[in-house]
Amino acid sequence: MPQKIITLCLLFSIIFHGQAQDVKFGKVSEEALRETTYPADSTAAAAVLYRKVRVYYQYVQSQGFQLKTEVHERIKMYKKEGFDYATKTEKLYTGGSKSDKERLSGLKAVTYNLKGPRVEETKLKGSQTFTKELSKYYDEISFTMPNVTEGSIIEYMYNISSPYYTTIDEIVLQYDIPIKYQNVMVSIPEYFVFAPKIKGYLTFQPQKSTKQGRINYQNKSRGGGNLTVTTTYQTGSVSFTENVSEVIMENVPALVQEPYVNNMDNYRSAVNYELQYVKLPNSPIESYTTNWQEVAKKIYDSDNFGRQLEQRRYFKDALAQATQGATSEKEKIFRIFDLVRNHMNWNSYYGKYTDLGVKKAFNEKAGNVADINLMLVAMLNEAGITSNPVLVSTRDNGVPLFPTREGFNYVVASAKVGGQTVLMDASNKFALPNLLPTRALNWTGLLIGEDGMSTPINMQSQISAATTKQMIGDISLDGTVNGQMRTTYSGYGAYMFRNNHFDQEEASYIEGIENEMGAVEVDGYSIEHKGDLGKDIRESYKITIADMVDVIGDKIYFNPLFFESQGESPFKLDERKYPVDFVTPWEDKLQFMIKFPEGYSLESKPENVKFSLPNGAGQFTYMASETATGLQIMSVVKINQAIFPATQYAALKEFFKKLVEKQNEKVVLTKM
Amino acid sequence: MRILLLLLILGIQTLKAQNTDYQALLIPSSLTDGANSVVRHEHTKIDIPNIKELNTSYRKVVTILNKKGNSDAGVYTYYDNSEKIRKISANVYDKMGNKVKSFKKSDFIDVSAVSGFSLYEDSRILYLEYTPIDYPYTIEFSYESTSDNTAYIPFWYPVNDYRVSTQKNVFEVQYAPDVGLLEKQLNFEGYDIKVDHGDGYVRYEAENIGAIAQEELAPALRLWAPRLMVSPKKFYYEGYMGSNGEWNALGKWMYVNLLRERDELPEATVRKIQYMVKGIEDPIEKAKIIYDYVQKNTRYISIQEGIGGIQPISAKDVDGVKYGDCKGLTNYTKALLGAVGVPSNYVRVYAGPEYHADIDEDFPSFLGQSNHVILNIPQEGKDPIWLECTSQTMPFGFLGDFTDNRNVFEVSANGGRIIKTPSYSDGQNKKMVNAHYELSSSGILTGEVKRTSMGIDYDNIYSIEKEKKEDQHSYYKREWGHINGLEIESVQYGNDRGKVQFFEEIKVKADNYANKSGNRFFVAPNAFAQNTFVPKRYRERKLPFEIVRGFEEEATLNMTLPDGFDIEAMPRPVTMESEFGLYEVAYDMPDEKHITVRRRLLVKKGKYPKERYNEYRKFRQEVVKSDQAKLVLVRI
Repeated sequence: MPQKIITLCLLFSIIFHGQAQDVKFGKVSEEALRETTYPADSTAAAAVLYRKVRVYYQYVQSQGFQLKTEVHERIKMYKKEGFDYATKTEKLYTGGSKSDKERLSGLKAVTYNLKGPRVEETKLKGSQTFTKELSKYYDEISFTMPNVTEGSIIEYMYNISSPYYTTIDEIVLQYDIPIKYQNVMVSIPEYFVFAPKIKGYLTFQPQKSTKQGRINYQNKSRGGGNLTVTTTYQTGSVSFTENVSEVIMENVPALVQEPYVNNMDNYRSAVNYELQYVKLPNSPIESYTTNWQEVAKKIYDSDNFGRQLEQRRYFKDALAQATQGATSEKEKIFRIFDLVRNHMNWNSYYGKYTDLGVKKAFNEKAGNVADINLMLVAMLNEAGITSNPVLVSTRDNGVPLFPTREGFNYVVASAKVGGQTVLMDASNKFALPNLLPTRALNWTGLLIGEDGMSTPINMQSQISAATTKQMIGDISLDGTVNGQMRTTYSGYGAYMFRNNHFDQEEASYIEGIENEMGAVEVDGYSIEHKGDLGKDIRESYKITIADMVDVIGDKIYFNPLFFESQGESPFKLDERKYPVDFVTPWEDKLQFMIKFPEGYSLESKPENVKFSLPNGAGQFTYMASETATGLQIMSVVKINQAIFPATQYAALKEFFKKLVEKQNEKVVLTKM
Repeated sequence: MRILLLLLILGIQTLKAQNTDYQALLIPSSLTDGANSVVRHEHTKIDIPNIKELNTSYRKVVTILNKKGNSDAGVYTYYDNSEKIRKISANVYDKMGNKVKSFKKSDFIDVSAVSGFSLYEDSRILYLEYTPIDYPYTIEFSYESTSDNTAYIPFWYPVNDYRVSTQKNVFEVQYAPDVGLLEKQLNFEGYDIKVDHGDGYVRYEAENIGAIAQEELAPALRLWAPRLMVSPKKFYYEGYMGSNGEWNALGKWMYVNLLRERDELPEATVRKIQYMVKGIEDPIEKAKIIYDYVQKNTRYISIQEGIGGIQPISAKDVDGVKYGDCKGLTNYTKALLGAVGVPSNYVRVYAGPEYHADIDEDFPSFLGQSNHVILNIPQEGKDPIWLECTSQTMPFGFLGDFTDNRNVFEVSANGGRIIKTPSYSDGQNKKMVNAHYELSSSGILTGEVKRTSMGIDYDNIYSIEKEKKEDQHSYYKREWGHINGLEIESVQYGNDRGKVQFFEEIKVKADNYANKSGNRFFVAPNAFAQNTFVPKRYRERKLPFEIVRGFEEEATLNMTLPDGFDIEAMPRPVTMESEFGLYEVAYDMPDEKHITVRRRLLVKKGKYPKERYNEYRKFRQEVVKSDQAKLVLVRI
């Protein structure tokens, strides 16, 4: 599975490497303070001149291993717009605990300014740092540097110690401003084996080495005879090997934001360390993750996952009632899915692990995604249908490039029926089997079998967001068009319609249509299957278009698609680096029958065209044909895939440019 | 007997009322129509037994009718170091009125409540997470809190929000006679609100207010919905005693307690700035140098702790760290001005671009009516000069739409007073476009556009200069989104901060400007001065509307036509004039190859009744239509 993604990432890779530099805190050169623009990128509002990160382990006898992260950054402010970088925030995990939490200490921070020939230093005071509780589980420490002006250099260092030594946070290697030099070194005792995973568009070669580490300890033992108790202290030490991985990078460019990107952080360069196993002296190996199988198994073995699939008693009655009289497996699946979707209410939390636990969630009729979907898996299995959970990384969580437990944040259900796999997510009131909420449509998921074995599964939807609009309309002599419009929404088209408009008052919805289209009035609105989830939604209404036909002299000009023509292309940028993400395949179909006013005949009409994107990824068809009383127009845009890599951007841009041009062509009528 | 019977009926009614508070099925349709939620019963009780104690007891029962109403449940409360939440709980009832869930204090989530613009604030929030399992449902929320600050009582708004109806809303204040109470009722007309005044006691009760939907261009809810402004006359706040009721005295109090001696500066800084203005006599010229110094050397960072919520950090501290919030930066600028002999005043204002929020002249109270601080420099016989001290880019003397045209509270050693900030008249908010472009025989447009922006239009555009090139380009691609295939070849800017004028010069190319159909070209001669705003259509407009700021657009566009084409149709000239403004467009042809478009749009600021909404909408619609009008060219 991950191969495809990695290739994509490597398309534009540039190799970064650099020489080690050591910069002492406080030694800032006048020359650097004088600099007014960043040489490698004159648009940079600020740049990191130096960044050093050290991640290592420390053994504290009373506490055991602690994970330490030392940060030292020096940032140059070129323009006011860069002053945001004078404020630093660090998120610290507290886990809701008073004692076992991450702590920040040793903060030292100075702003340097050039004052005449002299370097003026302003120190950050202790009272100028702030801690806020973001949630039960996270605190945030923030500080802002004093005395910052254009030209200032700020420098700070601090360290974070964490008792959660099996988790090394992602180390970001690319900022929204350039980094001139950075040196990131991670030293890990042989007892912990991590696999470093690199993501992003920049490539670099970590330098591997080893060194010796030592833990000193003291043992207290009590002993002695019948009358006296003596305490003896023994000191000793253990030496071990530390595996060191060092990344040195120079001139790292700023990460530039682009529109229509699902999640920009997917493309930010970073290293992730995922724990593979722990082998402490005199203890057996404790294995974590080495590959997708291990990831799946670890997750499955959690109490909040696999065990939740075994509990079944709580839903017995509801399930029996729901499946009573179901004749086929397919019918059973639909009925069980309906049961869970209708009974359960999503509490807005994602999660691959249950929050309340399936039983409690069932009783309270509310829960997180795992509560809901693991319950669904259990019910399906209980009803004799082979069903398994599928781990997913949601769109806003990014792409799971490497085997990590943290890479997945969501779970859906799958079922096997007649050799086909059906995917299900009952956390949305308008979802259907094989029609998942769009948040879950992200690359590849991991299906976990009962034995813990896992198989990758494609999470990109094959179902389109389809809309068909059919209008029959008459043009009157004053240019007004009276017509009857019928709209059909299917697949994701219907899903999105329901999510956006199900609770909306009809009057305000109609006002919405009118405002979207311009000088249009809607009457006699009716809708079918609004809540009939399996069916297409059909709308029908009378429409009066006031201002879209020009009657000038003995000619009439109009765009035969009226307000339905796409006014501008969504792709205006000259180039892009990141994929274009449409979420799902889609199709927009327009079929208009237009009757001309009495006494006018067709002078010219747009020519028929048909053009495609490379490899059948999309197609546009436009046909205008004369009828006895007027014209029949058909315009079909069909995009067959959800994601287009940046390499196909030029083709996509050209496709939409031509499409917009065509959809805006006019019809000319002449008075007979 | 008759009395007994009456009592009996009353008794039954009360009983029934209590039960029906929670069930959702029998709410009259006058309250559910157009509503997402119904406030069944909201009850706020404030008790001020002495000047250093304020107790609040609050209960709210809301029926949530649909998903969109969930945010109206309002199951949260803020608190801080001076305010303790003594009790807090919530219950959920199903549509029949059966209790389905109870929450106690430990179920509430307790975290820092730092608003987006602040680095730090000491306020906290207690809130509840609840996933509704069916609609409608009813949620009951109550808490009791106590505070030793008595300066502020939240105003009473019996209309909570759009699409929220009110069955019953009660507001009571009990206060020690020596504390006293200021009250002002606003927009009560037409609402069923009962008022009861006793000795050291006041009670307001509103009943049966239907839901109202939000409409485009409608004046802000807080400007027309009923509101009770209320405040203790004497108060205690973070160690200070004070009294409300009179602007002059309040200003003096603020000056003495919160500002005096906050404006001391380090000797070195004083010397430095005195040196900077050496030889300059004109106080305005001096002020310009100081303002420029502040803009170049400080930045806006908001940190709100304790008394810091209303008292500026000292000028000395700002001088040391070079940042501050609006209070700190304004006070710092004031201190610097003072050091060079230019007197200035600290001014509290309610800021925001959406509408002009006045401080109510008839309600002299200390907190609750302002959220920002600006500075003015009084001038003999002329309007004062206004300075926004939190911006590093605003021109000297320019306020923009954040604080323009509203009543503000000026604080000085002489006391306080209400004055008005300057407004930008219709013609001052002006955009002038001058463009030359050529259409080729293959439909390609090339040319150059020059724009000058003034007044609020200046405010809206000038920051583009500092943006990245890609962002500048995409701004124009959006701005002229009707031009298919638009490419920006170059941009150039000029910023005359003295005159408050911003200049843009953009070279453009569009491969597909002409819409080609057969042997015809359809081209809008007005390529770069199209206005696209059409107010939303409402089948039945319910609220009046307001054009908060007027503006003017003036354009001269010169287009060169391609060879080998005849003009088949020309757009018509249009002139429209009404109370809303003026629109004129004319097409001149100095020769058969050139068209000059002269266009002017003036929209006047004003308030209008709902009956005239469609007329205004029609006006803007006609403008849009005319701006897009096409020229038809036929290939010879």
